[in-house]
Amino acid sequence: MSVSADVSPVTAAEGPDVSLAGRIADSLLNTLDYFRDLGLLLADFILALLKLKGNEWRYTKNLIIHQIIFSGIDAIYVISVISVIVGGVVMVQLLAFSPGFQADAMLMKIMVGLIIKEIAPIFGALILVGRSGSAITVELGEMKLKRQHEALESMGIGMSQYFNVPRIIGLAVSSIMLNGYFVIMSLFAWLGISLFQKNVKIADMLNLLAGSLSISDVVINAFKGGVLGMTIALVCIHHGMSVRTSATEIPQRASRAIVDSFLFCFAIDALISVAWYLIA
Amino acid sequence: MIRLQNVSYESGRGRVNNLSFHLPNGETAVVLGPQNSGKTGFWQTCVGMQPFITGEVRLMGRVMDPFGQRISAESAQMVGIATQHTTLLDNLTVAANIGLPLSYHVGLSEREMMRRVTPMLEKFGIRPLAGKFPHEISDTDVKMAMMARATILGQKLLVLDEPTAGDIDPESFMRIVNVISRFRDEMQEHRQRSGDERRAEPRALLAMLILTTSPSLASIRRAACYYLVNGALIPHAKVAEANDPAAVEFFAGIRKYTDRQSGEISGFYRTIFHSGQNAG
Repeated sequence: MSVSADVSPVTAAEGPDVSLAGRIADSLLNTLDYFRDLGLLLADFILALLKLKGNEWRYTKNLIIHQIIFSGIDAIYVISVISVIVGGVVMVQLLAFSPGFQADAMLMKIMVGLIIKEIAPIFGALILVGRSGSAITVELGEMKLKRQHEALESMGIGMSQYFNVPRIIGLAVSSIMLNGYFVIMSLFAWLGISLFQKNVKIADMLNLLAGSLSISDVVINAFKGGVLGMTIALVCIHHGMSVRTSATEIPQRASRAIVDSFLFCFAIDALISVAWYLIA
Repeated sequence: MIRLQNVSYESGRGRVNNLSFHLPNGETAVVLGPQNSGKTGFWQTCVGMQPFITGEVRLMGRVMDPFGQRISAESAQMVGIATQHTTLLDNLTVAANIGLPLSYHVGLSEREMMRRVTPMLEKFGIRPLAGKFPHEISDTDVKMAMMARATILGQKLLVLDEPTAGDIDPESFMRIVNVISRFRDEMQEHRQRSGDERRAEPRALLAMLILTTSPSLASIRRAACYYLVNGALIPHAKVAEANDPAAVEFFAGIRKYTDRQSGEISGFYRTIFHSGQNAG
């Protein structure tokens, strides 16, 4: 997988190695650094989480709730619109293939599985990146430029505990919630469209749906949601923390955070799907 | 309160060498030095944040780790720091910024926190600004809020890094000087009342360390003044012995500054003051 790691252009005047091999090696090293930084950020998050106790944990819990309200609840409108459209389109395609449904329980199972296991996590992640991920990068970048992290540290408040932990947990929980809404709203869209079909009975539709749903689908949906939410938070925090000297870095970092988050989400989603297929 | 013995540390522009310093309870110390002379590194060394190479640092009787470490939650309740940069958190109101250590470390509810913050708002003359956000108030009021935040837990040591930095008007400068003078007077009264540290009130300020580039602030009465120049800390009483060329140049600069204050500048305004209505 390729990510947009920092690659400083090397010119003949600036550095000795301008060969293609040199650039590839440079790019590889930067990518490795990037993965190492993300790994360290994850380790720092776990340590910060373990250190939280008593009053600090109570305060952090409130921050987590605020993050969930912003990322998971305030996004209901957007996710509802998208899920109804996507669910409706899938239903229309299904009807085009099989106007009667009766003979197509297998087709239904495939479509339900596809919605729950693949489409919902990816759309949930896309919305999370657009709404919350970019906001995290911008907020953190601004905090770095204004040295607000120093103020927190001078009060004995770790940046990891105050900022990272609520964002990472908040986005993980929000992602699971968004996936859930997506699935529910898509299925409602299916039922809504089936009401207008002469040859489809609502009771048959409900039976087919009930028969198509499985616990494993729900588990993988939630698992993917949690992992993708955490990944988005980690990537966006990393880019926010990379802002150093100038306000012009903030939009650059925000757009990199968005692109990298998308890449990571697609890659991790695919990895989990393959792993699940191999295990199951 | 603070004792440094033969301490050396790396600062922005080189090494600060063999530095000894003692700030007893009830005292105020002002360290005056040019920009990038290592003043921030000095207070960070005093509170154990900055790694030091040689010597010993004691804060409130405790020997500090030479590797430097972040301010812990326990230390933050003993040491209040108002950093050089205007560092209130953008997303919190002035009152919430001041009360942040109370909410985070002590676990007070918003109501209890406000009960403790309101007298501080009064004390620092920023009561009407309680509900405003940092971008809505002046730089001086931000500094006032930072000082209020640095003392909200009843810290025993207050560190003020460049409290009068920035382009502030004379009235604002005097507001800050008055607050510092009040702290100094309260500390000295408290020392006279309590006699020694064992009988000290649990939440009384015991010492104050001020770092500044302003000769006007350094001349505050009843405070011990030191000069941090070219990696050496020179007590005010030993200025005549300083023979380092950089120190000589620095003191010549202060002399020119004070000569201009007492000559050209006060002469210029004398005509206004003598005109009657502006005599103040």
